[in-house]
Amino acid sequence: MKALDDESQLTIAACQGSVEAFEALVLHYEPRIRRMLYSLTQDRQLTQDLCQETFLAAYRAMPRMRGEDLHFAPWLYRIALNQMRSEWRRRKHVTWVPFSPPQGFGDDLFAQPCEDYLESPEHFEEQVGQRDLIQRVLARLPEASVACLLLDAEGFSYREIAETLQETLSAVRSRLARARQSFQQLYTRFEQEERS
Amino acid sequence: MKYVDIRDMPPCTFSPQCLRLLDDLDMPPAISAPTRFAYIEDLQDERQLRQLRSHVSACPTCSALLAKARRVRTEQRAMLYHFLLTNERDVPSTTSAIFAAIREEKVQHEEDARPVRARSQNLTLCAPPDEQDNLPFPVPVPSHSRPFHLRNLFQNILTLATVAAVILAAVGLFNRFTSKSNSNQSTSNSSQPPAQDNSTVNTYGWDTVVIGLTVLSAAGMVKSLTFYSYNAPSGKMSQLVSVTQDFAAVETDGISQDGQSVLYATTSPAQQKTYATYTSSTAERPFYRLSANEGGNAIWMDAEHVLVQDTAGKVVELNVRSGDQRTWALKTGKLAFYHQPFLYFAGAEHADAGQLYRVNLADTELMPQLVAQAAPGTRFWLNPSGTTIFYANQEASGERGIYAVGSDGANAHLWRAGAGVPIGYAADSALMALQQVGERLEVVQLGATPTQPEHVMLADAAPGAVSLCGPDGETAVIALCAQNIALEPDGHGLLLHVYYANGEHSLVYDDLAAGTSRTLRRLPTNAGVRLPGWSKISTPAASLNSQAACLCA
Repeated sequence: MKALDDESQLTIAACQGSVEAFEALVLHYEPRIRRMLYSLTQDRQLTQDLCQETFLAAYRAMPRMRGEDLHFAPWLYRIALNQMRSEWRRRKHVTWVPFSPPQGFGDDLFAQPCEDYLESPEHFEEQVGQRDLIQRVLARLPEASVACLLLDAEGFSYREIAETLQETLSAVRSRLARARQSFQQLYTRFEQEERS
Repeated sequence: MKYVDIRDMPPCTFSPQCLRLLDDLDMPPAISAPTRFAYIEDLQDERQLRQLRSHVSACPTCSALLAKARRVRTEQRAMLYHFLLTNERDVPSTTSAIFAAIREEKVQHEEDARPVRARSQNLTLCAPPDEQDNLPFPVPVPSHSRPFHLRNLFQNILTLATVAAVILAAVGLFNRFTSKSNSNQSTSNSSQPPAQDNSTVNTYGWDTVVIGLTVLSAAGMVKSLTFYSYNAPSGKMSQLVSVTQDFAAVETDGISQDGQSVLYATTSPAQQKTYATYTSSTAERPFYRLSANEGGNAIWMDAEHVLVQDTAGKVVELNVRSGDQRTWALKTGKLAFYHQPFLYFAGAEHADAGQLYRVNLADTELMPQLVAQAAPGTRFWLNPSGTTIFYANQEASGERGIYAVGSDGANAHLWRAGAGVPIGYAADSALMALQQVGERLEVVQLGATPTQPEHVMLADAAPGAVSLCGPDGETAVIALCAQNIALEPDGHGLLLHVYYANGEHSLVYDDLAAGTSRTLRRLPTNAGVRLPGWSKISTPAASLNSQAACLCA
């Protein structure tokens, strides 16, 4: 992911208690965390609450971290995802469609990706802004796969995704390949349904 | 043009693994960073990756599969990134609330800390019992602190012992696995960083080419700027926007990664250079201004960020929507392209503009790295996966031909000898070139490797043309200038701005799939053409027929 040019110094300073340094990190990452959380929850109020809680939790934890070793972005995203999961557990239900894979579109890490999904109609992506369609597709994928796809779209490297999701590189490779495949298949199917 | 259908190709058992390791395969091995720790499956991936690297180049099925997968990946990333950005706009910022909470917490923390200090002072000074009773919290009895401390210490030791036991067990398990693995492979301790494909190529919906037309006064001033779109499938040309104003100069700098915005710059008679975007939803939107002698060219980073060259030794990143900016101290000759996280540019301090450099904008200290050396004015082409750069050498010095070099500057070599300049890429990422054969301009699709056969896509791309640079063309050599060539991202269509021997000039559209060429419009002699590129900009309902007069000579 594209980092702030002085992110390392800001992280070190924030770990040493500099509020100004932490605020600089907030300025850069708040929109990113906000859009990630909203993409996962589709709940404005919940997103705002989780966003604040994420940064407050980070602020409280930073003095305990070694700034030199801390990869701020994966760490922060991990906090955000954990906050979201905790909230979901607490609420017992979610406002968005639950992340349960539909039959046939599961995200089995051990299954091999197949190339059939690449043979979708050529007009697959005529427009980028089919937000509802994307939302429907993401709602049918497992949460970790959605997070994987979104982090990839944000420019995270495999290593950063692995660090965020606390998985191995190999698992991230498999998950991302399967997630891309499922995304494509579902998108094509929903798009065809809408047209017919 | 013939498309390769994967289903028509022989099956390959490696295909699933190719898809799984797509991102890794797109990274040159030289860039792979060694890892200190690795899981067993990561090491197996490394071994498989090495096998696939040698397999893919010889396997047409996997090559075609990967090309298609890259396009799908690029499209998905673009869609999801756009989805994220839209979502960002939907939820109000919480920055102020976070700042307030942090500052409140800091104040609270300081207030909490203050009485503790006061308390310890009181204790040190042996405050009288009545004063102690007035303290807002119970004073800890010294004798209680020791058992508490011991209990904590005991807990810590227990925790450490547990952690150590788990680590030792894990290391033992790991060693068992690695020793097994090492017996099968000599080197396994490097991991490939994932590919970050931010290429702008997207074959879906990129079927509308944007044409900037300027009308020049007798004094050479630009009197008006009009953007037109030509939609290849419908054959419809439409006016997008027109600005009637005097400009000293007009430049176009390309299409955004989402295909929706045109980046351009206008210089006023007072020598102020204004950078702006055009999108069909927001029309023109200026976002930055510099004096003309400092304002260089601009390039897109993604769908909303651009980099502007400031010839005073700076490069400025701007968000065209919010206006947010940051600046790097960097001397550049001309910005070439951006492929996350690298900015590629021609020329640098004490270097001529024929040298291509790159810098990692994510680094805290920018260290330009020489990538390629070519003749001044050479145009460089980054391939869709961001791994290879192509450029032509048509100078007298050195062997003429198209050269290839790794995006990190490694392995520069002659790709194809002879005449011809790169013009873009086909759907399967094969390089496309334009070359003069006799008095004709031929469009050629090169092979995926120098040894693979090339295909002539169109034998006469611009019938009768003598130049693609200006009205002073020679008849013996057809001059080729990249700014008058726009190849559709999937290599389907080609728009050329060509000049004829009688001084006239036209827009020519070549359908490379059908193998046909036709003149779209003949242009007035006082018209100037800019071709920012192909886009996804939708064609307005009203076509240009009613305004044909402004385009026709």
